[in-house]
Amino acid sequence: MEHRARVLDVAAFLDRLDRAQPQPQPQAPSPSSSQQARSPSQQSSPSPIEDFRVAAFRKAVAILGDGQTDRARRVLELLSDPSTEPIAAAHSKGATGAFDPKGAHAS
Amino acid sequence: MYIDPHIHMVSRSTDDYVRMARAGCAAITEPAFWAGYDRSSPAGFNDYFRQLTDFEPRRAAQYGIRHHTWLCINPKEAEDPVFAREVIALIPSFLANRNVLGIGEIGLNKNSRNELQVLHEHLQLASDHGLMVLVHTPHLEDKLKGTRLIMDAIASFPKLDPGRVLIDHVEEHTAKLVLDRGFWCGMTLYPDTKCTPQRAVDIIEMYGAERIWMNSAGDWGNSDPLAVAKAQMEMRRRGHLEALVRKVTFDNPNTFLSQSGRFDCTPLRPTAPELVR
Repeated sequence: MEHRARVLDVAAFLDRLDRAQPQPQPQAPSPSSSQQARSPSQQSSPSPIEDFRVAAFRKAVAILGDGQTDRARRVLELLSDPSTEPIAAAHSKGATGAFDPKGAHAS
Repeated sequence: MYIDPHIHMVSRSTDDYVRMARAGCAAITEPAFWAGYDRSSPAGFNDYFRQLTDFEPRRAAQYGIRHHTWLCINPKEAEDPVFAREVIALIPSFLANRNVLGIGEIGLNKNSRNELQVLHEHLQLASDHGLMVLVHTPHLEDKLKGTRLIMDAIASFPKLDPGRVLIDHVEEHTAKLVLDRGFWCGMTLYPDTKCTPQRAVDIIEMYGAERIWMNSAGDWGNSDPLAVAKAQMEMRRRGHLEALVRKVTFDNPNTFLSQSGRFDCTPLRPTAPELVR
Protein backbone atom coordinates (compact mmCIF):
# COMPACT_ATOMS: atom_id res chain seq x y z
CA MET A 1 0.00 0.00 0.00
CA GLU A 2 2.79 2.44 0.91
CA HIS A 3 4.46 1.96 -2.47
CA ARG A 4 1.15 2.27 -4.29
CA ALA A 5 0.84 5.67 -2.61
CA ARG A 6 4.34 6.61 -3.71
CA VAL A 7 3.68 5.65 -7.31
CA LEU A 8 0.54 7.79 -7.21
CA ASP A 9 2.56 10.70 -5.84
CA VAL A 10 4.95 10.46 -8.79
CA ALA A 11 2.11 10.05 -11.28
CA ALA A 12 0.28 13.05 -9.88
CA PHE A 13 3.47 15.11 -10.01
CA LEU A 14 3.95 14.30 -13.69
CA ASP A 15 0.33 15.21 -14.37
CA ARG A 16 0.91 18.49 -12.58
CA LEU A 17 3.89 19.20 -14.79
CA ASP A 18 1.77 18.57 -17.87
CA ARG A 19 -0.85 21.02 -16.68
CA ALA A 20 1.83 23.60 -16.00
CA GLN A 21 3.20 23.51 -19.54
CA PRO A 22 2.69 26.83 -21.39
CA GLN A 23 -0.19 26.63 -23.87
CA PRO A 24 0.18 28.23 -27.34
CA GLN A 25 -2.05 31.24 -28.02
CA PRO A 26 -4.96 30.31 -30.34
CA GLN A 27 -4.51 31.94 -33.79
CA ALA A 28 -7.25 33.99 -35.46
CA PRO A 29 -8.59 32.05 -38.52
CA SER A 30 -7.67 33.41 -42.00
CA PRO A 31 -10.58 34.52 -44.30
CA SER A 32 -9.89 31.60 -46.66
CA SER A 33 -9.99 28.83 -44.04
CA SER A 34 -13.13 27.07 -42.98
CA GLN A 35 -14.60 27.97 -39.68
CA GLN A 36 -13.58 24.68 -38.01
CA ALA A 37 -13.25 24.57 -34.28
CA ARG A 38 -10.12 22.93 -32.97
CA SER A 39 -10.49 20.35 -30.32
CA PRO A 40 -8.88 21.06 -27.01
CA SER A 41 -6.28 18.39 -27.69
CA GLN A 42 -5.39 20.02 -31.03
CA GLN A 43 -5.16 23.42 -29.43
CA SER A 44 -3.01 22.30 -26.56
CA SER A 45 0.16 21.09 -28.28
CA PRO A 46 2.63 21.64 -25.51
CA SER A 47 5.99 23.28 -26.02
CA PRO A 48 7.78 22.07 -22.91
CA ILE A 49 10.57 24.14 -21.48
CA GLU A 50 11.86 21.89 -18.78
CA ASP A 51 14.51 22.72 -16.31
CA PHE A 52 17.32 20.25 -15.86
CA ARG A 53 15.77 18.76 -12.73
CA VAL A 54 12.56 17.82 -14.53
CA ALA A 55 14.52 16.38 -17.44
CA ALA A 56 16.58 14.30 -15.01
CA PHE A 57 13.45 13.24 -13.15
CA ARG A 58 11.87 11.90 -16.33
CA LYS A 59 15.03 9.90 -17.11
CA ALA A 60 15.01 8.53 -13.57
CA VAL A 61 11.39 7.43 -13.95
CA ALA A 62 12.36 5.61 -17.15
CA ILE A 63 14.94 3.62 -15.17
CA LEU A 64 12.22 2.39 -12.84
CA GLY A 65 10.49 0.62 -15.72
CA ASP A 66 13.46 -0.64 -17.73
CA GLY A 67 13.39 -4.12 -16.27
CA GLN A 68 16.98 -4.08 -15.07
CA THR A 69 18.16 -4.38 -11.48
CA ASP A 70 20.06 -1.91 -9.25
CA ARG A 71 17.52 0.79 -9.97
CA ALA A 72 18.27 2.87 -6.87
CA ARG A 73 22.00 2.94 -7.61
CA ARG A 74 21.40 3.76 -11.29
CA VAL A 75 18.99 6.57 -10.48
CA LEU A 76 21.48 8.08 -8.04
CA GLU A 77 24.27 7.81 -10.60
CA LEU A 78 22.05 9.41 -13.25
CA LEU A 79 21.42 12.36 -10.94
CA SER A 80 25.10 12.73 -10.01
CA ASP A 81 27.77 15.11 -11.22
CA PRO A 82 29.95 12.98 -13.53
CA SER A 83 32.98 15.27 -13.38
CA THR A 84 36.05 14.33 -11.36
CA GLU A 85 38.00 17.53 -10.75
CA PRO A 86 37.29 19.98 -7.92
CA ILE A 87 35.50 23.14 -8.97
CA ALA A 88 37.37 26.44 -8.79
CA ALA A 89 35.13 27.94 -6.10
CA ALA A 90 31.80 27.27 -4.43
CA HIS A 91 29.37 30.08 -5.15
CA SER A 92 26.50 28.47 -3.30
CA LYS A 93 26.07 26.06 -0.43
CA GLY A 94 23.01 24.08 -1.46
CA ALA A 95 22.45 21.20 -3.84
CA THR A 96 19.65 20.97 -6.38
CA GLY A 97 18.99 17.24 -6.64
CA ALA A 98 20.29 16.70 -10.16
CA PHE A 99 23.41 17.56 -12.12
CA ASP A 100 23.03 20.66 -14.29
CA PRO A 101 25.13 20.12 -17.43
CA LYS A 102 24.87 23.81 -18.30
CA GLY A 103 25.63 25.02 -14.80
CA ALA A 104 28.71 25.80 -12.75
CA HIS A 105 29.78 22.17 -12.80
CA ALA A 106 29.89 21.89 -16.57
CA SER A 107 33.44 21.36 -17.82
CA MET B 1 19.24 -0.33 23.16
CA TYR B 2 21.01 1.59 20.43
CA ILE B 3 23.67 4.20 19.72
CA ASP B 4 23.07 7.19 17.48
CA PRO B 5 26.59 7.96 16.27
CA HIS B 6 25.73 11.14 14.36
CA ILE B 7 23.21 13.62 15.74
CA HIS B 8 23.33 17.36 16.35
CA MET B 9 21.73 17.73 19.74
CA VAL B 10 22.67 21.38 20.18
CA SER B 11 19.81 22.05 17.77
CA ARG B 12 17.31 19.75 19.52
CA SER B 13 15.22 20.30 22.62
CA THR B 14 15.09 18.19 25.76
CA ASP B 15 11.83 16.73 24.43
CA ASP B 16 14.00 14.83 21.98
CA TYR B 17 16.31 13.61 24.73
CA VAL B 18 13.24 12.26 26.55
CA ARG B 19 12.00 10.46 23.44
CA MET B 20 15.44 9.08 22.62
CA ALA B 21 15.98 7.83 26.17
CA ARG B 22 12.60 6.09 26.18
CA ALA B 23 13.41 4.52 22.79
CA GLY B 24 16.60 3.01 24.22
CA CYS B 25 19.33 5.39 23.12
CA ALA B 26 22.37 4.71 25.29
CA ALA B 27 24.94 7.00 23.72
CA ILE B 28 25.37 9.53 20.97
CA THR B 29 28.19 11.24 19.16
CA GLU B 30 27.78 14.77 17.89
CA PRO B 31 30.04 16.10 15.12
CA ALA B 32 30.61 19.82 14.76
CA PHE B 33 28.37 21.11 11.98
CA TRP B 34 27.05 24.12 10.11
CA ALA B 35 24.58 26.08 12.22
CA GLY B 36 22.55 27.21 9.22
CA TYR B 37 24.54 30.41 8.88
CA ASP B 38 28.23 31.24 8.66
CA ARG B 39 29.74 32.02 12.01
CA SER B 40 31.37 35.44 11.97
CA SER B 41 34.55 34.76 13.93
CA PRO B 42 36.78 32.02 15.31
CA ALA B 43 35.55 33.10 18.73
CA GLY B 44 32.12 31.88 17.68
CA PHE B 45 33.58 28.47 17.04
CA ASN B 46 35.38 28.56 20.37
CA ASP B 47 32.04 29.04 22.09
CA TYR B 48 30.50 26.26 20.01
CA PHE B 49 33.29 23.86 20.92
CA ARG B 50 32.74 24.74 24.59
CA GLN B 51 29.08 23.89 24.16
CA LEU B 52 29.95 20.53 22.58
CA THR B 53 32.53 19.55 25.20
CA ASP B 54 30.97 20.95 28.37
CA PHE B 55 27.29 21.89 28.33
CA GLU B 56 25.89 19.30 25.95
CA PRO B 57 27.37 16.24 27.72
CA ARG B 58 25.86 17.46 30.96
CA ARG B 59 22.50 18.08 29.32
CA ALA B 60 22.47 14.58 27.77
CA ALA B 61 23.50 12.92 31.02
CA GLN B 62 20.29 14.05 32.72
CA TYR B 63 18.48 11.66 30.38
CA GLY B 64 20.91 8.79 30.87
CA ILE B 65 22.55 9.34 27.48
CA ARG B 66 26.32 9.50 27.16
CA HIS B 67 27.38 12.32 24.83
CA HIS B 68 30.58 12.42 22.78
CA THR B 69 31.73 14.86 20.16
CA TRP B 70 33.93 15.47 17.12
CA LEU B 71 35.45 18.86 16.30
CA CYS B 72 36.11 20.69 13.03
CA ILE B 73 34.99 23.53 10.82
CA ASN B 74 32.24 22.13 8.61
CA PRO B 75 32.77 21.97 4.82
CA LYS B 76 29.99 24.50 4.26
CA GLU B 77 32.16 27.08 6.04
CA ALA B 78 35.39 25.98 4.38
CA GLU B 79 35.40 28.22 1.33
CA ASP B 80 37.58 30.73 3.23
CA PRO B 81 40.78 28.79 4.02
CA VAL B 82 42.30 31.63 6.07
CA PHE B 83 39.29 31.70 8.37
CA ALA B 84 39.16 27.90 8.46
CA ARG B 85 42.80 27.73 9.47
CA GLU B 86 42.10 29.99 12.47
CA VAL B 87 39.34 27.66 13.58
CA ILE B 88 41.40 24.53 13.08
CA ALA B 89 44.08 26.11 15.26
CA LEU B 90 41.58 26.14 18.16
CA ILE B 91 40.92 22.40 18.07
CA PRO B 92 44.05 21.10 19.85
CA SER B 93 43.13 23.04 22.99
CA PHE B 94 39.90 21.00 23.23
CA LEU B 95 41.40 17.57 22.62
CA ALA B 96 41.99 16.93 26.30
CA ASN B 97 38.23 16.82 26.90
CA ARG B 98 37.28 13.20 27.50
CA ASN B 99 34.22 13.33 25.26
CA VAL B 100 36.20 14.37 22.18
CA LEU B 101 36.56 11.33 19.90
CA GLY B 102 38.30 12.90 16.92
CA ILE B 103 37.91 15.23 13.95
CA GLY B 104 34.53 15.57 12.29
CA GLU B 105 32.37 16.01 10.44
CA ILE B 106 34.93 17.00 7.83
CA GLY B 107 34.63 16.45 4.11
CA LEU B 108 33.33 18.37 1.13
CA ASN B 109 30.18 20.29 0.26
CA LYS B 110 30.35 21.58 -3.32
CA ASN B 111 33.67 19.85 -4.09
CA SER B 112 35.67 23.06 -4.43
CA ARG B 113 39.43 23.51 -4.29
CA ASN B 114 39.23 25.53 -1.08
CA GLU B 115 37.07 22.89 0.59
CA LEU B 116 39.61 20.26 -0.46
CA GLN B 117 42.45 22.33 0.98
CA VAL B 118 40.66 22.68 4.31
CA LEU B 119 39.91 18.95 4.29
CA HIS B 120 43.61 18.26 3.85
CA GLU B 121 44.45 20.50 6.81
CA HIS B 122 41.96 18.67 9.02
CA LEU B 123 43.40 15.33 7.91
CA GLN B 124 46.87 16.58 8.75
CA LEU B 125 45.69 17.49 12.25
CA ALA B 126 44.11 14.04 12.66
CA SER B 127 47.27 12.38 11.41
CA ASP B 128 49.53 14.44 13.69
CA HIS B 129 47.47 13.65 16.80
CA GLY B 130 46.49 10.07 15.96
CA LEU B 131 42.80 10.98 15.91
CA MET B 132 39.85 9.21 14.39
CA VAL B 133 37.92 10.86 11.58
CA LEU B 134 34.21 11.24 10.82
CA VAL B 135 33.51 12.30 7.25
CA HIS B 136 30.56 14.15 5.75
CA THR B 137 29.93 13.36 2.09
CA PRO B 138 28.21 16.00 -0.04
CA HIS B 139 24.51 16.20 -0.67
CA LEU B 140 22.55 14.90 -3.63
CA GLU B 141 24.23 15.37 -7.03
CA ASP B 142 27.59 16.19 -5.44
CA LYS B 143 27.86 13.05 -3.32
CA LEU B 144 29.42 10.56 -5.74
CA LYS B 145 32.14 12.91 -6.96
CA GLY B 146 32.82 14.17 -3.44
CA THR B 147 33.06 10.71 -1.93
CA ARG B 148 35.76 9.76 -4.43
CA LEU B 149 37.68 13.01 -3.86
CA ILE B 150 37.49 12.54 -0.10
CA MET B 151 38.72 8.94 -0.16
CA ASP B 152 41.62 9.92 -2.42
CA ALA B 153 42.50 12.76 -0.03
CA ILE B 154 42.53 10.41 2.97
CA ALA B 155 44.68 7.93 1.07
CA SER B 156 47.36 10.60 0.75
CA PHE B 157 47.88 10.42 4.54
CA PRO B 158 49.52 7.03 5.14
CA LYS B 159 49.19 7.31 8.94
CA LEU B 160 45.38 7.47 8.67
CA ASP B 161 44.03 3.94 8.93
CA PRO B 162 40.80 3.51 6.91
CA GLY B 163 39.55 1.31 9.73
CA ARG B 164 39.52 4.41 11.94
CA VAL B 165 37.66 6.57 9.42
CA LEU B 166 33.89 6.63 9.08
CA ILE B 167 32.48 7.93 5.81
CA ASP B 168 28.94 9.00 6.48
CA HIS B 169 25.80 9.63 4.48
CA VAL B 170 26.46 6.77 2.02
CA GLU B 171 23.72 5.70 -0.34
CA GLU B 172 23.30 2.93 -2.88
CA HIS B 173 25.83 4.45 -5.30
CA THR B 174 28.58 5.05 -2.75
CA ALA B 175 28.27 2.33 -0.11
CA LYS B 176 30.26 -0.32 -1.98
CA LEU B 177 32.89 2.20 -3.07
CA VAL B 178 33.51 3.11 0.57
CA LEU B 179 33.51 -0.45 1.90
CA ASP B 180 35.81 -1.70 -0.86
CA ARG B 181 38.46 0.81 0.19
CA GLY B 182 38.42 -0.40 3.79
CA PHE B 183 36.55 2.47 5.42
CA TRP B 184 33.57 2.23 7.72
CA CYS B 185 30.37 3.63 6.28
CA GLY B 186 27.36 5.29 7.82
CA MET B 187 23.85 5.46 6.45
CA THR B 188 21.99 8.59 7.48
CA LEU B 189 18.24 8.25 7.91
CA TYR B 190 17.23 11.79 6.94
CA PRO B 191 14.02 12.74 5.11
CA ASP B 192 14.10 13.55 1.40
CA THR B 193 17.81 14.17 0.93
CA LYS B 194 19.36 10.96 2.28
CA CYS B 195 18.36 7.38 3.12
CA THR B 196 15.13 6.00 4.47
CA PRO B 197 15.11 3.20 7.06
CA GLN B 198 13.88 0.87 4.32
CA ARG B 199 16.72 1.69 1.94
CA ALA B 200 19.26 1.45 4.74
CA VAL B 201 18.12 -2.07 5.53
CA ASP B 202 18.25 -2.85 1.79
CA ILE B 203 21.90 -1.74 1.77
CA ILE B 204 22.68 -4.02 4.69
CA GLU B 205 20.98 -6.92 2.91
CA MET B 206 23.03 -6.20 -0.24
CA TYR B 207 26.44 -5.49 1.26
CA GLY B 208 26.41 -7.12 4.66
CA ALA B 209 26.63 -5.86 8.21
CA GLU B 210 30.36 -5.37 8.58
CA ARG B 211 31.82 -1.88 9.03
CA ILE B 212 28.43 -0.26 8.67
CA TRP B 213 26.13 1.73 10.93
CA MET B 214 23.02 3.90 10.86
CA ASN B 215 22.40 7.36 12.27
CA SER B 216 19.78 10.07 12.27
CA ALA B 217 21.92 13.21 11.80
CA GLY B 218 19.04 14.96 13.56
CA ASP B 219 19.59 18.70 13.33
CA TRP B 220 17.81 22.04 12.97
CA GLY B 221 16.17 20.91 9.72
CA ASN B 222 13.32 18.48 9.10
CA SER B 223 14.80 15.39 10.73
CA ASP B 224 13.93 12.61 13.13
CA PRO B 225 16.01 11.88 16.25
CA LEU B 226 14.29 8.52 16.53
CA ALA B 227 15.29 7.38 13.03
CA VAL B 228 17.68 4.69 14.27
CA ALA B 229 14.99 3.20 16.51
CA LYS B 230 12.65 3.16 13.52
CA ALA B 231 15.28 1.39 11.43
CA GLN B 232 15.49 -1.25 14.15
CA MET B 233 11.74 -1.75 13.71
CA GLU B 234 12.12 -2.08 9.95
CA MET B 235 14.72 -4.82 10.44
CA ARG B 236 12.38 -6.66 12.82
CA ARG B 237 9.47 -6.15 10.43
CA ARG B 238 11.48 -8.00 7.78
CA GLY B 239 12.24 -10.83 10.17
CA HIS B 240 15.91 -10.16 10.75
CA LEU B 241 17.42 -11.74 13.83
CA GLU B 242 17.74 -9.58 16.90
CA ALA B 243 21.49 -10.25 16.83
CA LEU B 244 21.71 -8.48 13.47
CA VAL B 245 19.60 -5.56 14.71
CA ARG B 246 21.90 -5.17 17.71
CA LYS B 247 25.03 -5.54 15.59
CA VAL B 248 24.19 -2.70 13.22
CA THR B 249 22.69 -0.29 15.76
CA PHE B 250 24.85 -0.96 18.81
CA ASP B 251 27.80 -3.31 18.42
CA ASN B 252 29.18 -1.79 15.22
CA PRO B 253 29.14 1.83 16.45
CA ASN B 254 30.57 0.65 19.76
CA THR B 255 33.36 -1.25 18.03
CA PHE B 256 34.32 1.64 15.77
CA LEU B 257 34.04 4.40 18.35
CA SER B 258 35.85 2.44 21.08
CA GLN B 259 39.00 2.69 18.97
CA SER B 260 39.21 6.26 20.27
CA GLY B 261 39.90 4.95 23.76
CA ARG B 262 37.24 7.35 25.03
CA PHE B 263 33.87 6.08 23.89
CA ASP B 264 31.62 5.01 26.74
CA CYS B 265 28.18 3.47 26.35
CA THR B 266 27.84 1.92 29.78
CA PRO B 267 24.51 2.66 31.45
CA LEU B 268 24.18 6.10 32.95
CA ARG B 269 21.65 6.86 35.67
CA PRO B 270 19.13 9.43 34.43
CA THR B 271 17.95 12.17 36.75
CA ALA B 272 15.44 14.19 34.72
CA PRO B 273 11.94 13.88 36.26
CA GLU B 274 10.21 14.46 32.91
CA LEU B 275 11.34 11.00 31.80
CA VAL B 276 8.50 9.54 33.81
CA ARG B 277 5.86 12.20 33.24
